[in-house]
Amino acid sequence: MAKRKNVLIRLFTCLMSLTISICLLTRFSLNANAESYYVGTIKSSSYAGIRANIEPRSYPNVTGSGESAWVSNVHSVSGGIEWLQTGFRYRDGYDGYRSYVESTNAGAYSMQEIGYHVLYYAAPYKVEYESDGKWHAYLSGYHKKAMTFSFSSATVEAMAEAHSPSIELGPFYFTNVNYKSTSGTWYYMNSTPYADYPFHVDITNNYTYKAY
Amino acid sequence: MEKKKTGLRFRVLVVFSIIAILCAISLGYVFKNLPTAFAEEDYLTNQFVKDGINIESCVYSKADNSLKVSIVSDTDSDQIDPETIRVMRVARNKIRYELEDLAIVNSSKNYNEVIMNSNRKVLIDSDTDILEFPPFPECKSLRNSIGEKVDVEKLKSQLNDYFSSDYRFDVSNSDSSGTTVSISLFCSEKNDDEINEKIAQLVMKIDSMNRESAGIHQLEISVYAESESNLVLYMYSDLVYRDFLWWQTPDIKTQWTKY
Repeated sequence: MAKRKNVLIRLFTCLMSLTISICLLTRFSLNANAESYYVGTIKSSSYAGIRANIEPRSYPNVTGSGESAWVSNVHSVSGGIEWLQTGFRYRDGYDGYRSYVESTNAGAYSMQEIGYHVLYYAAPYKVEYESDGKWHAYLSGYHKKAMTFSFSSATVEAMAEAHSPSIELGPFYFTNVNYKSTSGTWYYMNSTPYADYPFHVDITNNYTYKAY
Repeated sequence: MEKKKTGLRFRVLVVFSIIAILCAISLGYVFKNLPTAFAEEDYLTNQFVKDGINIESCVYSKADNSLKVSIVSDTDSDQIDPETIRVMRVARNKIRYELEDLAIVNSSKNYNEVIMNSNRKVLIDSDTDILEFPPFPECKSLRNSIGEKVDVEKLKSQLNDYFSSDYRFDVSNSDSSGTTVSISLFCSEKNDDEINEKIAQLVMKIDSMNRESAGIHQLEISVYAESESNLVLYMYSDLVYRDFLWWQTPDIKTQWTKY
């Protein structure tokens, strides 16, 4: 009886080990193939805007790849995921950080590079829903794009994003990260910043963090 | 007495004449501006129609500094299709490169692009300043090179040196919008990572060719997977304005900008 119990325990242990190994391997392989690695904050799921000052202080090594830092809304709709995003990006071969506005709406994808974002400048980026029924993207206080979506509130994010695990990320300094409630009031971000492995986040508070 | 009366009449006549001249000038100004804006809206509409674009309306608002162009797509779906992406690019090119001298275009800070499906349901309603020119050095030299004679064979040979046999190229040239490189890419299977990675690499390589003065102003990419008729991604980008616009099948869960 005891022998049988031992066999069962061993079998159970083996099965558990196997399951854990498969889970770890799957996670590893997913990460290895993942297109992006994120560092920053997410506020789910019914908010009317996000804004943050984002500052780069050096040009990282991004050989064969690229990265970005941005604020965005994001919402699931029947056709997939839609968003309006503004920030800056840096790719292999670029002569500096380039600010951009990107959107996905009704199956059309759009990305426009607008200008340079210079080092040591904490430029304000903002995406918000306004009374005209459109979501608006602002870059350093200038209006850059407005778009109608089927939703007036969404998940909002302020993120740094690396497109490969083997590149340097930033560092990017996020300050004054705020989200906007559906009643129109801006609040300091209260979600805890996180970092996908192998990148890091140094948190001063939930609305002030360094992504690297 | 008679002399005094004549003097008064003369003064009344002078005042009346001044008022009449001022009225004529004001009315002339109003009528001069109104027909110009209307005429330019009509002209713009006709130019779009000439390029095969189905225009619902084309309206300039001086108060909003805005040009609203409503385009009807052939699709009856609630989602944009590849052909609509092509039409959106043709319309933007028209405004940026052919009609930028029209008063209603160059005074507009806002291009309101409205895309409707064939049932007149609005799919996209977007505002942006499409005439804002980016400050990147390659954009300025690209803009200056539009209209220059292009050695198509040399460009094709450069492209062949850069890319493998998975790609097919076509190079065309327009006096107004410059050189378009159309690339067809064939993938044996529909693999998100493979497709997005290839497009990101392709854009990087075209950018690097442009830094060496290749002079590619427009980039059109069609990606086929599993069979040569199965279009899974269509992109039509303006490299002068760094304006990337594309459609991809919903089966592709990520996008090339993340690679």
